[in-house]
Amino acid sequence: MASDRQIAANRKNAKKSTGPSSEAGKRRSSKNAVRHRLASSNSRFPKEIVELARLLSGAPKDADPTFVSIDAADAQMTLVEVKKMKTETLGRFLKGDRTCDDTHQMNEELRKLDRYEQRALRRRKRALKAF
Amino acid sequence: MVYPECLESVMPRAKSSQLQRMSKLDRFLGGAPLVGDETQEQYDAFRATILSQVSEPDVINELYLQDVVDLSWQIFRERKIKADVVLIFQQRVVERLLRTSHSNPEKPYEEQDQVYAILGSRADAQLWLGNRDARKRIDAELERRGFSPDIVLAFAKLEGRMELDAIEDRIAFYEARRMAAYDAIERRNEKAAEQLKRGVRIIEGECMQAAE
Repeated sequence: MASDRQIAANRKNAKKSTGPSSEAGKRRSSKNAVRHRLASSNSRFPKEIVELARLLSGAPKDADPTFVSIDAADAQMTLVEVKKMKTETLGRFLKGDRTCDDTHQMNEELRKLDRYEQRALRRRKRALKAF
Repeated sequence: MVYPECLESVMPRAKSSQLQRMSKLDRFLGGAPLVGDETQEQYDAFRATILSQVSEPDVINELYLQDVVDLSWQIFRERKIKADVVLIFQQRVVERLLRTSHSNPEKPYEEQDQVYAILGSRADAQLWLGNRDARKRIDAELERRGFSPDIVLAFAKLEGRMELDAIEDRIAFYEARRMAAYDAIERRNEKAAEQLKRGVRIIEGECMQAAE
């Protein structure tokens, strides 16, 4: 068990661990764990989503698309992102000499992407049924 | 002839006007999912050939048609990757057998060639993968030690079963998704879905034949 002196020293040292202080450092560290934005609840392509939603619902250029068409369009754009990332993963695998470990890594990466793909597919299917 | 070259057998059916179809939706479908030695021309021709099976689809069916194109393309690719992965594991099995099995099992362990076991087996396994003559020689040597090419293949499939299963699962997932896309197209246009299914089956059959 830590002594009172050690605990006090730990607390004192912890106060120094406040992370980045500059704005640029804060911005950079906020992206530390980001590998892709597939789990983000923020739409990545708002303009494209609205345009695609209009196209899907047949709404005129100046009219607001329906919620369901925006949902379908957002899911479609996620599927496009997943397709791109899967392609990159497979591209890395097919480049150069391939080993058993590379195969395992490729399968793991694709398996993680499958989760987002299936979720987006369900969302798109549900939304497109409304049309 | 192997994928993607085998796809060239279906190319003449694609007309240039068909390559321009679906322009309104194109920018929302992502680019061609190309990897390795796949080319844009092969993909465009493959896509046009599948799209030509359905005349004047509505915008929703166009989305599902693109799914059919990409999924069919991915199914071809995954089959090729599966064959590649079997080879990768075969190479590993060959290396291990060269390292651990000996041409004269009666000889004491200390007298076996340890330098070869450490360095030579890896080099030979690499040769086995890339050189037809070396493969023949190594296959014959392993057969002499009691490991025929069929046994090596069986060991490779056993060792790689987790990875091969993962690829099989993906193929099954893509096939199920393609079926779902057919169903969705069918709900809006029954005749088109039938034509499409038949067309894709023919294209796949032709590719399989070409590959054989």
